[in-house]
Amino acid sequence: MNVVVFGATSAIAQAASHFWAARGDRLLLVARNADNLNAVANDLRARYDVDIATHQADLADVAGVPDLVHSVFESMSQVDRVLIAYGTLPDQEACEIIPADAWPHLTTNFVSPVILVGELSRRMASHGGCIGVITSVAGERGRRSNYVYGSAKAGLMTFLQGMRHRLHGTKLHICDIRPGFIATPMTQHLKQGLLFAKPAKVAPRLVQAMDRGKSVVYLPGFWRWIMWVIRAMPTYIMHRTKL
Amino acid sequence: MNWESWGRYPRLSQTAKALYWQSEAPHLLAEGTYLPVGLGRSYGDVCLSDSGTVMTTKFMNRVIAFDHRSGHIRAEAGIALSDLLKVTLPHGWFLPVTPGTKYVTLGGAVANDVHGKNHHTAGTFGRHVTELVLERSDGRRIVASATNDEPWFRATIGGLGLTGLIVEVSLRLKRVQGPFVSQELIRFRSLDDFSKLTESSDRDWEYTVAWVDAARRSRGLGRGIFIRGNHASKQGKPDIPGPRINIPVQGPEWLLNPWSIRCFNNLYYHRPLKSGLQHFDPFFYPLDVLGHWNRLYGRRGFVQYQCAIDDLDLVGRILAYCAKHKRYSFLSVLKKFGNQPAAGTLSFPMPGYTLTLDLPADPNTLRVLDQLDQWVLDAGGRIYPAKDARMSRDTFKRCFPQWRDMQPFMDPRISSAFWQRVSGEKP
Ligand SMILES: Cc1cc2nc3c(=O)[nH]c(=O)nc-3n(C[C@H](O)[C@H](O)[C@H](O)COP(=O)(O)OP(=O)(O)OC[C@H]3O[C@@H](n4cnc5c(N)ncnc54)[C@H](O)[C@@H]3O)c2cc1C
Ligand SMILES: NC(=O)c1ccc[n+]([C@@H]2O[C@H](COP(=O)([O-])OP(=O)(O)OC[C@H]3O[C@@H](n4cnc5c(N)ncnc54)[C@H](OP(=O)(O)O)[C@@H]3O)[C@@H](O)[C@H]2O)c1
Repeated sequence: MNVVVFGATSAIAQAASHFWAARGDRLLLVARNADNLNAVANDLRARYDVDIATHQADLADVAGVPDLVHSVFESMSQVDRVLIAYGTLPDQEACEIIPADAWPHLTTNFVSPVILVGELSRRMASHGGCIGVITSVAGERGRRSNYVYGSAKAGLMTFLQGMRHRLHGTKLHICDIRPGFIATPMTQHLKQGLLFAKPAKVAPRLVQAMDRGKSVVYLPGFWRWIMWVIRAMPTYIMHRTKL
Repeated sequence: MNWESWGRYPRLSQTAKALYWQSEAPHLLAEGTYLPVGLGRSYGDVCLSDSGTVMTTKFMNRVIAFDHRSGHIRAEAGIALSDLLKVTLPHGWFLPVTPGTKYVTLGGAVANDVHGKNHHTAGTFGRHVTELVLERSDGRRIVASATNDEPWFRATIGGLGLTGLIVEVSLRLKRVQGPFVSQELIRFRSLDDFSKLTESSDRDWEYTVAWVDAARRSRGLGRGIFIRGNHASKQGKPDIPGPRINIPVQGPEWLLNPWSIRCFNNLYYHRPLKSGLQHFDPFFYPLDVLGHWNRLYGRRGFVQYQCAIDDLDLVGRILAYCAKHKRYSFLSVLKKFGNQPAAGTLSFPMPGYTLTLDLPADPNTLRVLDQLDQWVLDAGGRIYPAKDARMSRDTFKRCFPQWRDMQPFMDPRISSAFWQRVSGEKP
C-alpha cells in the first residue's frame, strides 16, 4: 500500500509510520524540518528495510498546498492512505491577551488542512482509499483551558463531517482521529497523569481505523465515554470546573 | 515529568525535560545547569540533578544506519538496548556487552562504561564503541573516536554525562547464530568453590557470573549458584518480550525485611537447577520480567553497593559483616573481572572480583557501608559510581585518583548530584 503522511515528524505520526513500515507499506513523508524529517526516514529505513521518500514543506504556507499535493502525486501515482498529523497548540492565555496570536494556529490547525483535504479528495475520489485527519477531543466542547485550539479543531471536524456526507457511497473514506492526551512534545509541559497514553500504544488503533474506513476514532478508545460525559455536562456544572 | 533514580534514593527536586531531536539544543531548553540522562537505570545520583534540569534522551532514539553485513550500527544516544536488539537480532547481531537489564540507553551504557557477564572476554561497553558525537553546551559538536579527538573519547566513555550530551553512538555488534544461550548452573558451597569454578570456566565460557546467598550468618557463608553460558547455534524467533508483570505502586516497607530476604535467598539457593538451552532474554535479563521491581522497597528506596576488589577473602569478610549487622542483601552478584584495559578515564572495572549488594536505604545500611568503604579502599579497590548514592568525597577521590584528568573535558553547564557530592564543586 502507498501511504502519505503530512506532518510526519509528529510523535503520533511517527508511531503510525513505524506500524505501516513494519508491514511493508511504501511511505512518503512530508514535514517542515528537514533534519528531523531525515532522522525519521533513516530510522524507518534502517529498521524495516523499506522504501521511504521524503518531501520538505511548511504546511502553514496555505497558498502552496495545491502545488504540494501536485508534486506528491507526481512521485506517487497512487495513494491509498493519507495521514494528516501536523498541528500546533496555542498558548491559550497569550491568545486572551493578544487575540491576534491565534491567527497562525487557526491557519495551521484549520485553514491548511481544509485546503489539503479538499485537494486530496479530488485526486483520490476515483481510486478510493482513506484520508485520516488528526483532530482532537478538544473540538467537542469549548472549554476555558483551550478553546482557541478547540475551535480550530471543531471547525475541521465539521468540515470532515460534511466531506464524509458528500463522499458517502464512494470508495474514499474520511477518518476523523480524535486523540485525548498523548505524551508527545506538544503536551510535554502538562502534568502527565494517568490519562496520558504513549504514541506507540495508540498507533495500532489509528492504523486499523483507517484500514476499516471508520468515520470517527478516539485514541485511546475510552475517550469516547469521557467525551460523552463532558458533552452531556450541564452548563452550570461545566462553568464551575476549570477543565 | 517525574524523575527518580532506580534506587529511588536520594529524592531530589529537579525539573525534568525531554529531548526529542538532535536539532534541539539542550543548553537553550534549560536554565542553569542540566544533566543529560537516559532511562534512569542508575541506582544512585549519577542520573540526578540537585535542583537543576535533567534532560532525558529516551525519545531521541532513532537508528541512523545499520549495516547488516559488517554489524556496525549508528544510532541516536537515547535508543534503549531493548529497542536496538529488535533491530539487530533478526539479522544475527547481538550486543557486544550488555548489563543486567535491557532498559538502558546507548548513551547511559557509554557514560557509565557498563560491563556484563562477559567482562573477562570482552571488557567494557566502551571498548566496542567506534565513534561518539558529543554536543557541548556552547553548541559545539565533537566527533570523537580512538583515532580522532581521542582524549574526548576517553573522557566521555565512563564520563558520567559530564563532558556533554552524547547525541550519537556508533557500535560494533557481535555475531550470533540465534537467540539462544546454552547455560550451566552449578551450586557452590563456599567462596573457595566459587573461585575454582570461575578459574576453570573463564576460558571456555563467554559469560560467567555467580549469584551469592548473602543472607547466611556463618554456616553456608559464600554459598551460591554459578552461572555460565555460551551463545548457541540453535535458530529461533528473536522475540524481545516486555515485562510480564508490572509493580504498579510502591510496596509497604515491611515487605522486604531481614526475615523475608533470608527466606527468599534460601529458597533461591535450593531451587532445582536446570542447565541447557535458554532464551537469551531470561539469561541476560532475568529481572526484566518484573517491571518497576524497585518499588518493592517502598518509600525509603534502596541502595546498591558494588565494589571491585582483588581479594576474595575480603568478599567473605564483607558478607559476614553485613550478616552480622542484619543487612541482608536481597540479590547479590559476584563476578571475576578480566584484565582488559579500561576504555574510559573513569571506567570502574579493574582486575579482580566485583561484588554487588542490594540493601534498603536506612541509617543502619549507610553505617555498614561506610565501614565497607574503608576496607575496599585499604585493599586498593573501587566503588561503582553508577550504583552509588552515598560514598564520601574522600572515598571517591581515593577510588578514582584520576578524577582530575576529567577537569579539562567537563562541560561548564553540566553537573549531576553525584558530581557535586563527590567533587565538592557547586556549579
Ligand atoms: C536491573 C539492573 C541491572 C544492572 N546491571 C548492570 C550490569 O550488569 N553492569 C553494569 O555496568 N551496570 C548495570 N546496571 C546499571 C546500568 O546499566 C547503568 O546505570 C546504565 O548507565 C543506565 O543507563 P540509563 O540509560 O538508564 O542512564 P541513566 O541512569 O539515566 O544515566 C546514567 C549516566 O549516563 C549519563 N547519560 C545518559 N545518557 C546520556 C547522554 N545521551 N549523553 C551524556 N550522558 C548521558 C547520565 O548523565 C548518567 O551519568 C544495572 C541496572 C539495573 C537497574
Ligand atoms: N498530544 C496530544 O495530546 C494531542 C491531543 C489531541 C490532538 N493532538 C493532535 O495530534 C497531532 C499530532 O501532534 P503530536 O501530539 O504528535 O505533537 P507533535 O509531535 O508536537 O507534532 C506536531 C507536529 O506538527 C508539525 N507542524 C506544526 N506546524 C507545522 C507546519 N506549519 N508545517 C508542517 N508541520 C507542522 C510539527 O513539526 P515541527 O517539528 O516542524 O514543528 C510537529 O511535527 C496534532 O494535530 C495535534 O493537534 C494531539
